[in-house]
Amino acid sequence: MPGTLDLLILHTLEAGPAHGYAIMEAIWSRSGELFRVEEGALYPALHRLQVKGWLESEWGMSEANRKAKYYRLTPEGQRQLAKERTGWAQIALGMGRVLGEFKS
Amino acid sequence: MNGWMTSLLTRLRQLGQRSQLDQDLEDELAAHLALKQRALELEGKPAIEAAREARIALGNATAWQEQTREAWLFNRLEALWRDIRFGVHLLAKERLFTFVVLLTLTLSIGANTAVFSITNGLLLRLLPVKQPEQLAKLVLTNIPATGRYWVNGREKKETERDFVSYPLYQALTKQTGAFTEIFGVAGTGTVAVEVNGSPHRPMTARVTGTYFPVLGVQPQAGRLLTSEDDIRGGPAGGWPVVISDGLWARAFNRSGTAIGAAITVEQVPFVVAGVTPRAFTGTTPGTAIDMWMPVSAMEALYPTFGWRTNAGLAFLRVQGRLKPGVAPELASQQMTAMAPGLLAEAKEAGLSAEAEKQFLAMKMEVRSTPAGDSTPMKTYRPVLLILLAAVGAVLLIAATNLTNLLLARAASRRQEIATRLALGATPGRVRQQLLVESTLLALGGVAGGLVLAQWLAVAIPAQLNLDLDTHLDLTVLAFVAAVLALVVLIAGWFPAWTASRQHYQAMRASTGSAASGRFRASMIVLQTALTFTLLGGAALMLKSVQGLVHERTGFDAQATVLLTPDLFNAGISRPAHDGAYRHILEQARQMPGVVTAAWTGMAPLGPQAQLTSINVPGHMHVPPKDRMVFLHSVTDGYFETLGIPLLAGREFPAPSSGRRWMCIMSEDVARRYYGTPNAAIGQFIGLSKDKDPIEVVGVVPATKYSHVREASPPTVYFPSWINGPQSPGMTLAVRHSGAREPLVAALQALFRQEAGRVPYVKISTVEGNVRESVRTERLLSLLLAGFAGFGLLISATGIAGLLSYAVQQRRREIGIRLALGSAPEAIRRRFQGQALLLALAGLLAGGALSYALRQVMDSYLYRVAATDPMVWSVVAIVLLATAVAAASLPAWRASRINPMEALRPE
Repeated sequence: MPGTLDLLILHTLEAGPAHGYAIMEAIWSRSGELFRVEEGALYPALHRLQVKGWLESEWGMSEANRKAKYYRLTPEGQRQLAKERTGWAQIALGMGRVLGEFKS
Repeated sequence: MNGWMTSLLTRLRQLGQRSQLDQDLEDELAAHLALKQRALELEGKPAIEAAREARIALGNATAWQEQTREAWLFNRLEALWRDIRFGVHLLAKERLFTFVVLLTLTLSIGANTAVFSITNGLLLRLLPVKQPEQLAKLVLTNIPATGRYWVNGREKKETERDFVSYPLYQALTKQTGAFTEIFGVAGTGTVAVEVNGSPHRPMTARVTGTYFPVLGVQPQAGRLLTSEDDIRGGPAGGWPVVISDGLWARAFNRSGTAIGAAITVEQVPFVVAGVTPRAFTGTTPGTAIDMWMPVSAMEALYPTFGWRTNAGLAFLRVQGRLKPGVAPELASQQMTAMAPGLLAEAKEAGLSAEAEKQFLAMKMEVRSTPAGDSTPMKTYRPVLLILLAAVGAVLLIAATNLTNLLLARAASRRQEIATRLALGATPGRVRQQLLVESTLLALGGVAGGLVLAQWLAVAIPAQLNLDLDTHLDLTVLAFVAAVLALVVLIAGWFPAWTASRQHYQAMRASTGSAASGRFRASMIVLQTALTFTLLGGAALMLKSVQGLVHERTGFDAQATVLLTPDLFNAGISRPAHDGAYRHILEQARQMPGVVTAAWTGMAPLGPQAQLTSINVPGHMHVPPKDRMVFLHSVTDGYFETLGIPLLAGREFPAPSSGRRWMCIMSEDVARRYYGTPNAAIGQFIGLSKDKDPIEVVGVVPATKYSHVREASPPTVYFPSWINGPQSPGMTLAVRHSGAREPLVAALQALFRQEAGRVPYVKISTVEGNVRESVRTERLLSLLLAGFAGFGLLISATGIAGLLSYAVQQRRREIGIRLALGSAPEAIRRRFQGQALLLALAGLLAGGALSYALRQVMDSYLYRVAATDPMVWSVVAIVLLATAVAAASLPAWRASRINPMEALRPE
């Protein structure tokens, strides 16, 4: 679904700055190994979110003592996250109701 | 907005950042690979396997890297597009600001481009010939002072001579020295041409046969002239001419039948050999050539002109190709060293021993002429330099004015910019927004400027009688780009820089930046200084033009018209001219409305001049050059017709009273040799040893001969009929009592009746000739006055703007002063005093500048010194009064500030 990846990224970064690989792993593990984000989707998305001004990036040292690019939420990103979360909750609620009605 | 411009700007910006972005993506990718590989290794996979798996997972990295890049690029594009729309919106809202900026840019860019286009067309553009950079001309310098030399009526020392005689040219073709090949161009002028019965008057150059081969010009039709055409008697097929593309179109409608067509030139049959390419109009910028004929054809056109053998007749400009790698300085040395050899070669020309000595004393200089060589180039180079300096000043005034306008605007937009910065816009983004606005204005100004330039670049050469191609070529476009870059840099950079820095100060109290105030004040001083110099120059020129136009010419000829009919080409043969002239004169004198009439060999104040040394018994020890006089050949009735009173003696008698040598001289000649006018009557002078002595029968006051600037030229008049049959080219002077137009029409009918066909008639008046001779001065005065007016306007608005801003900034202070009992009058005076101070500073700087430049215009001034105290005082008063007037509105506003309102917190 469009926008889902953005929401996942923003949500993951709410916990604190992380580099691309860590974001990928976090989504993988937190989704109970359900969502696998491809590199080819993740990096363009990260840059797109930067262009929109929701993320900032900065080079830093990773756990393996390697240079890696860390992404961080901007205040605007925080606001966007809140907005998207509400939006998603609405969709989930709506979908649940609709699907539930059909079920019963 | 222009799509191409948007993407151009973005791409330019991108160029610097693209590689950085790529590097960033590259690094990020490498980091990701390393992290993933490490994670896989931790899971227990072998290193090689882990690396492979990590790379596979990455997929088509190039593709998504590209996507990422585009996301960024699009972002910048979009931001720029937003800036442009926002800019257009803002500019449309602030109409007055936009109008003033566009006007300033249009005038400055227009004036600069126009003057540069003319400079380019006359002095810079390379000739459209093969390897123009190899072309050079030969100039004789170190001229011995044996003759006298006038430029625009001013006697000067002859420093160089552009013309050589035909015998010397012939010698040069045999010993070319530093040149590989040479060609010669004899003077250019209009001739009467008849094509299929219809008349044309093309500008014609007489060129040596080597002209086209050396230049390497290829014909667009037919063939061009060669050395086989330039021989005694002419080639077998008859005398050939080559015509320009323009004449081909006008006279032949570009028909192929033009080649080989028989035409007549000054009644001599010629054959059209070919047509030059459209771009080629000769090697004489300022005079576009329409027809070329071999020099040798002059023997058919002017049978009595002994040009071929007379070494004393210098009439050929010599140009050629320098040997590759030979610098003009070295070439000059080589040529000068060749002089004795050349002289030996030209020996049969029969130079006197004196002339030989003089020739050997001269230096032969070689000068590079890739853009051609012509008299207009020499005449107008100094004029163009003055104009370039003036438009440069206009540009500086305009650019500093724009700086001030933008600064003032940036100051008034501080609120807006501070808000944008607070909302997260980076200083870079704000700077971009401001630069986009400057760019929009600049483009608008360039568009307007180019339109103005197109008009001026045609109008100015027309005013100077210059035939110039001033189209926009690459050189001019490069110049416009450079001018624009300069303006944008001066005008856009400083305001953009201060504006983007203001977030540091934005939250501070609303006091303006002191540095920016000082900067604006210094810009105004600079503007005032330049305006002062321009105004002074304009005033000096205006005074000179007034002086020249109202100069006493010695004629009283308001009711006299001058007609020069081309009877020869209307069908009157050379021998028949004498009779025709007499007959026309008799008839004209009978016509109603004619008071008196006379023929003269030269129209007063016309372009030609004839000089000779007279022999005065008792004064033969004076060197011949100091016995030189201007000659006039006139019929009876001349002095009365031109309104010249007789001081002593009598007018020439009517021809019926017999032919006897006599002359009338101007007062200064008479006084110089005989003491008084009356003493000259009955004396005898000689023209040459073999002619009879000539009796002085009358003395007249000095009249101008060929230019108003002349200081009473010594003149001797001869009755034209004593020289025997008259040759073509005389001018009929007619003093009339009624309206001019019907009389001129009647006289033209008389000419037609006499000749059998309608002749070409040049009509002029003494006043008209005076105006004609002050064209350059008039143009300079008009342009300088225009530029100065522009400067004055800008300085005034600059002062008013600066003070308005200061008043606004200091509202509280003024409010307190007023509340504490200051008189409004005192406040007003303070501000006006400030304006006066600024103007005075500008005046001092401008005065220094003008003093440094005092000699620049010297040769164009007349009866006024460049340092004339009266002129400069008036200019200073005008400038100071303008400054005070400009300050009066803001000063008045300051004095009307309501203390209660001013002190209320914001």
